[in-house]
Order: sequence, then structure tokens, then C-alpha cells
Amino acid sequence: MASGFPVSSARRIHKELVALQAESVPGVTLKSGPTESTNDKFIDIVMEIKGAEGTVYNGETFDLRFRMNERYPFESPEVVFQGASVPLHPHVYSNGHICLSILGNDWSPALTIQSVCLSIVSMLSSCKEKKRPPDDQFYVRTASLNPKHTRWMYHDDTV
Amino acid sequence: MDDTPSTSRMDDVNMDQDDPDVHAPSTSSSAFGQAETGKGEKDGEKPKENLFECNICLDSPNDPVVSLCGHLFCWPCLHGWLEMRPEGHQTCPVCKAAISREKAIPLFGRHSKGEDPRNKAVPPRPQAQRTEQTRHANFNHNPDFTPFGFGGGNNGFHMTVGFGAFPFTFFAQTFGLLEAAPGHAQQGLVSKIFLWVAIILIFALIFIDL
Repeated sequence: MASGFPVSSARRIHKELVALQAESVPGVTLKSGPTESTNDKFIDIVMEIKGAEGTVYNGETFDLRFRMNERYPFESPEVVFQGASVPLHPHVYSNGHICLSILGNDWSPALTIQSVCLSIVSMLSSCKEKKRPPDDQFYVRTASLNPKHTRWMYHDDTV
Repeated sequence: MDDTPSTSRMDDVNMDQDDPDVHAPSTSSSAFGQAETGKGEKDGEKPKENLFECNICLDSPNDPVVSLCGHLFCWPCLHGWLEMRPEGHQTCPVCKAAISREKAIPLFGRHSKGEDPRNKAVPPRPQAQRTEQTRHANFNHNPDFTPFGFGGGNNGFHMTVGFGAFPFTFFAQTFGLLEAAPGHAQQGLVSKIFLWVAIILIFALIFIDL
């Protein structure tokens, strides 16, 4: 089945999933996947993350879709919020795209699905006021479906 | 790998890792069964965490190398990462310290042949693509810079040198003459003043025309 997808990438994703199941992190669970695209170009995984207690997202759950291409883990996965609930957050656009440096310039192959989920939970937790980014309307109208085609400016370290 | 005595330095390798992998048999995902059979001999034999795992493929390292910051990788994995980064911007995947091919130390166990893994041909890897960001910055700079230099910069430069310096030297010379002969007749002085007015007018005309 994984004929076209490189074995090394598939194997690493598999090992991550085994690790995810072996030691679960509270608020981060595997929802579905791995699903391979019909053309063997990428593998999709959907993670469910819960807003942490004591934060503005307490009690909310969000679906994060990870899309790993054949260069994973040398290239970052494409990570977007999907489904009906996209968190209202100054770095999350209403189409689900996330402005987070580790998903772009600061990606490292030592990062994993789990550590990315934790970073996003932490990014949500440090938010004090629920609001969309100021350029949300414009960005959502003009952006590509793939957030990696966007050249992000990482300017805000506080939230 | 398992016979190797564990040194304190090597223990650190895994401390930074968020997700120590557990060698448990596959429970899900038929899609990965095939990939698993490749190197899955250790499954079941060692259920606890393996301290010696490559930080990139999360597997027992093949041709192990260690960075100066103490992080363990397979040489093919680290090489793949170094290829992705432009020279001089190569960082350790775990701690972001500067690394390079020369600063990767090969590890030789008891039964290893002692061949430097860095000299081995590595499997074909994805070509570097992430260099484009620094290049883009340069491309953006150059077109901006060149027209600016030709446009205002050069013209302004010629004007000030060509016409600015010349009249000043001329003035200085005539002033020098004036001072050299202070006791001359009033008529001479009046004619000198007229000459001055004429000169100033001529220069004013030249400057206004330009």
C-alpha cells in the first residue's frame, strides 16, 4: 500500500503514532488516520486537542490536521485547524491556518506530531483575549489552501 | 548498541527528546505494516525506552554520529537535514546549536569496522529547497538598490562636485586679489563691485538654467 511513499518517512510517522499511544499527553489524542492520499504524495493524521483548564479555551476541542509529505521529517508537516470549530486566536486565521514559527522557518526534524500539538496547546493557553488576526479577512480571501505557501512573519512572541 | 556502556554524555542525548519511543508491536495502521517489517527485529525484545535513538528517524542509529552538542543521529539522517539547510545556517535539530559536516563525530562500537560514515555514499536525499528564503531577501534588495543608485544618487553627486566647488575656488582667488590691494582708488573699487555683481549674475543664470 505504501508503495510510492518513502519507507523512511512512513516508518517515522508510524513510530510517532506508537509513541503517542504508549504515553498519552493529556488533551492531545489521535482522532483519525493515518490516511494515505491515493497518489502516495502525503499522509494525513487528525489530532484532537482540548483547550487547557483555566484558559479562555477551557472545555473546547479542536481538530488539527497534519499532512506529511514524502520529505517528512526533513520538511515540516502542513498543520491546519479543520472542521467546524477553529479557535478564535490572534494567530489563527478563520480558514484554519496557523501563524507559528515551528511550522515554517523554525521547523526541526527532531520535532514530532506530539510536540507540535503541545506547542499549539501552549499557544492557545497563553491567549488572554479571543480575537482573529487583524488581516484575517484579507488573508482568508487571498491565501492558498496550503499554509506552507504563505510567507509568514513571526512578529509576536507573547501569545 | 545495547552492549555499549552508557556514559553520562550519551544519556543526555535523550533527555531533550520529547517523545522517547517505545518499541511496542504495531497495534494500528495496516498502511505501515510494510514499513515496520524492514527494521522491526527488536520489537518485543526490548519493551523499555531505548536511550540510543536517532533524533530524526527515532530508530536505532545506522552509522551513528554525534554532534558537538551531544545529540545522536544516523549519519544518513543528519546528512539529509544538513542538505536542506544553506551552508552556515546548519543547526542541530534538537538544540539549534551550529553544526556542520566536520563537526559531526562518528561513533565506533566494538564490532564496527571503523569506517568513517561521513565518507560513505549516502542515499539520494531531497535537494535543498529551503535556501530560497535568504536568496529572496537578496533579490528584493538588488532591484530596489540599482534604480535608486542610478536615479537620484548619481545626478546629485555630479551637480555638487562640478558646479559647487568651481565657483568657490574662483571667489577665493578674487577675494585674495582684493585684499592684496586695499588702498586703491574708489573708482577701482566701484568697478570691482560691478564686476562682482556681473559675475554673480552670470553664475545665477547658469544655476537657474540647470
